[in-house]
Amino acid sequence: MAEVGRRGFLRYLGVGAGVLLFGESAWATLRFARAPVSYGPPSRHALGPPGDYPAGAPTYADEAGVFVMRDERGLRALSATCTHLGCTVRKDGDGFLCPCHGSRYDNAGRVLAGPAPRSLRFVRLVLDRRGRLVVDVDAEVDADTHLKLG
Amino acid sequence: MRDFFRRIRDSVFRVGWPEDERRALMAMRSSFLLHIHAAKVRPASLRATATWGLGLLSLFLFGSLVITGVYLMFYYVPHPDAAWRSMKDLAFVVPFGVVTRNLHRWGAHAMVALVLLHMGRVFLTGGYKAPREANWVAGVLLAILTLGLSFTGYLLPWDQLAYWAVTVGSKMVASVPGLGPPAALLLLGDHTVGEAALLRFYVLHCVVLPLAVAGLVAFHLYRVRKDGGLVTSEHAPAPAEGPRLLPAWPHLIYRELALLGGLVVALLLLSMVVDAPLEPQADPTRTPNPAKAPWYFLGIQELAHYSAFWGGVFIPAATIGVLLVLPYVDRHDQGLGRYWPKERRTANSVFLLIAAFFVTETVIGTFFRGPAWALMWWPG
Repeated sequence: MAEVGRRGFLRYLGVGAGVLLFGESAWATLRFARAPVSYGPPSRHALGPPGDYPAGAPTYADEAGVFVMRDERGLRALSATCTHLGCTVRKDGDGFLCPCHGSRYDNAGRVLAGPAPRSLRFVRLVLDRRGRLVVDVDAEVDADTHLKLG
Repeated sequence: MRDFFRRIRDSVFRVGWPEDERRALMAMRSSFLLHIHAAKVRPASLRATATWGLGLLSLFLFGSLVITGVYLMFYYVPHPDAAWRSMKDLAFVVPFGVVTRNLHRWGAHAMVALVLLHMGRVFLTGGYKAPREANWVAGVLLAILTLGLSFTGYLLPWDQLAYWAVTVGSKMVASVPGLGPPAALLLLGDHTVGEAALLRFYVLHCVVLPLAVAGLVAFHLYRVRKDGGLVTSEHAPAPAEGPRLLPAWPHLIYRELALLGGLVVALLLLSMVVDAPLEPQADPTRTPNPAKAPWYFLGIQELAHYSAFWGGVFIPAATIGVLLVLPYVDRHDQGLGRYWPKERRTANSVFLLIAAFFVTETVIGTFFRGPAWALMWWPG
C-alpha cells in the first residue's frame, strides 16, 4: 500500500466524514418522508344490516368500495378495486368492468380479459355486536369464505 | 432633480440604450440579463431553423408558469376538503381567476410539448455529442422534471380526473418489483391518494421541482455558452458577404423578444378562448369512464393497458436510460448541425422510429380509446 501521509490521511478523513454525513442525511430524509401516520380512509366500514343485501345481483356498497353478494351459503364481499392499477370496477352485464384499462371479470371476480394480473379480491365480512355487517377492505380472504347467517 | 434620476439610471444601466455597435457590445457584456449571451453570434445560429426557438420558448413558458403559479397559490388550499372549492372560487369569484388558471394549464401543456420537441431537435442535429454530453444529460433531466411538474400539478385541482390519473400513476410506481411499494408509499405519504398525497404533491409542485428546474436551467444555459454555443454545421455556407459574426444586440436579442411577444400573445388568446377543464370533485369510490390521463401520459397509459410494469414503467424507464447514456455511447462526430445528414441517417431513423412509436401510442390512447379503454373509431 502506498504511503498516505498526513495530508492524504486528513483528506481521506474529511471526505469520509462528508460521505458519512451525506449518507446519514439521505437516510434520515427518507425516514422522515415515510409517513408513520395515515389519515387515509379506514379499512373497516360498517355496511348496515344483512337484510339490505338480497340474493341475486351483487349490491355495491360505495362507501367501502365492495360488492356484497348473497348466495345459499351466506354473504361475501368482493373488493371493487381493480387488481391492475386500482381503479374502481363497475357492474357490467353479468360481471365487472374496469373503466381505466378495460379489464373484465366474471361474476365471481375472475379475470376474463384485459391487463388485470389476478382476480378481484374477496375481503373479510363479519357481523358486529349490533348485527351490522362490517367489511375490512384490507383483509383478503379465500373466494369460498362465506359469512353464514342465522 | 433630473440629475438625481439620471444617476440612479446610470448606476443600474452602465451603458445607455445601444445606439451603435460599440455600445451594443458593451451593453451585452455589462448587463446582468444580456450577458447570458455572447456579445457576438454566428449568423448560422440566428436562422430560425437552427433551433426553432424551442428551448427559449420552453424557458419563457417556465417563467410564465412560475408567475401564474404564484398567483394561483394565493387562492389555492392544498387539502381534499378545500382544493376543489378553491378551483371553483378561481372560476367564479376571483377577478381574472379563469384566465390565470387557463394560462397556467395551457402553458404547462405547451411546455411539455416544446421541451420534447426541443429534445428532438437537439438529437437530430447531433447536439448531444462531445463536448455537449453533460448538457444533453441536463436536458433529459429537465424533460423528466417537466413531466414531474405536470404529474404533480395534475392532482392539485382534486377533481375526478386528477384523482384517478394519480391513483393509476402511483399504482404503476408500486408495480415495480421490490422498490415500487416503498417508493409509492414515500410519494403518497399513505396507502391511498388522500390528504397526505395532496400536500406532498403540492410541495413538490410549488417548491421542490421548480427549484430543481431553475438550478438545472442555469447550468443548461451556462453550458450552452461554455460548450461553444449552438451546434452548427461545419458545412454551413459561410456568409458570402458581411461579417463572420454579428453583434447579439440587436440581431439575437430582438429575435428573442419577438419570440417572447408572440408566445405571450398566443398564450393569452388561447387562455381567453379555451377554458381549462374541471371535472366533478374527486370521489374515491367511483371511477369515471373512461379515466384518461393528460395527453402526454396517454402513450404510457396505452402501454400500461397491456402490462402495468412492462408497459407503464419498464419501457419509459428504459427509454430514459438510453437517452441518458446515449452521448457516451454514440461517439461519431460527423454531420452535426444538420437535420438529415448522410452520416446520421441510421441514428436519426432509429430516433424517429422510437418517437413515432410513442406518438402512435399517444394518438391511440387519445383518440381511439373509449369507455373501458376499448378500441373505438373516431372520436370519443
